[in-house]
Amino acid sequence: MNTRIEQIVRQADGAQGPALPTDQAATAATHQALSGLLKQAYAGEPADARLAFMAGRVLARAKAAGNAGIAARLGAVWHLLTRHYALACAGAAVAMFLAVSATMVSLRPAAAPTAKPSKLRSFAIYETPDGSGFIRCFEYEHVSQPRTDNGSS
Amino acid sequence: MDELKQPDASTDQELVAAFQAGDERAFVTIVDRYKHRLARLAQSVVRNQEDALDVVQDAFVKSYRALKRFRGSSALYTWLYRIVMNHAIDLVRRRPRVTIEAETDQLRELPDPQVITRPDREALNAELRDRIFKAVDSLPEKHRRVVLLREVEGLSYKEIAEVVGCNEGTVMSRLFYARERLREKLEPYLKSGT
Repeated sequence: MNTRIEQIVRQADGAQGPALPTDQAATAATHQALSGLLKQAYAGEPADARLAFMAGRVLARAKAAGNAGIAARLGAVWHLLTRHYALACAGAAVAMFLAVSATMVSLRPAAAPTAKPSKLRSFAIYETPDGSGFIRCFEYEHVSQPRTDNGSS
Repeated sequence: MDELKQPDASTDQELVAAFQAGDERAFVTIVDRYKHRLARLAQSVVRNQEDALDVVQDAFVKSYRALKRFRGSSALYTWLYRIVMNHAIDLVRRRPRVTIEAETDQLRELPDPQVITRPDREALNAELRDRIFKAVDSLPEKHRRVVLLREVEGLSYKEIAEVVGCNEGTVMSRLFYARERLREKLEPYLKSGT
């Protein structure tokens, strides 16, 4: 830093130092007067009743903010869990549907072909992340035809 | 508070350690110790008592959370000053900008500077005080911070450097140029004092 500036600033703030050239000494004296003017202008402190009870209000607000933060974090975790729960439910429903379908198909008697094609109905229950749900019906129809003698079906 | 028998006599480091160990009364002591100085600093920036108290309260709420991670790399009060100063400057930034009027004509309307040649002894005229506030407000932010920390709070150059995050040389340089700019704006009130 410029030594001249440092000396002027220090002397304006009342520090003793080497004698400054006249122009710099005048600047330091002006800055000192200015400093006094500023101190006087900003003198006094807020005399508000709020200051007297500030600690209590700060603690209350800090704790309330902390609790809100904890609640928000718990909410986020819960939201995440419920989303996973819904996905798990949906997955389980699909798996159950596939298992039931496969079982029913395998248990279906290998009867002689009837005139009316066989149908299989299944229902899957889905739960969405927001807690609502819906049911979907799946209907399968066996459409294979008995083979003819020439191999066409 | 078994470990902290006389919180008012405890050092800042002891209070911080006690708070970090779970003693909330240590935080109350910190608030009580610094609230007046911080309120005065905030008021010097926002120049409105209501806003200043809001700034200080917000700053303490923020420091309550941050103090648990405070490692003491700087002094507690310079750390608090930095939080308050940043909050106060943010508040001023969000306000609509008030245009500073042309200086010369306004100064002519003020009382005779000879009447207030000794500012350390005379109560300042309200208009002059307003003029000083406007002059300080017109300074660039980095200069304003340094001036207020020096003139209002009486912090040392080293402490100011900690608060604003620069070295002492920069603090003195900013202080010098800020005073030069203020001198230009307030010259009529300084002539007879020099």
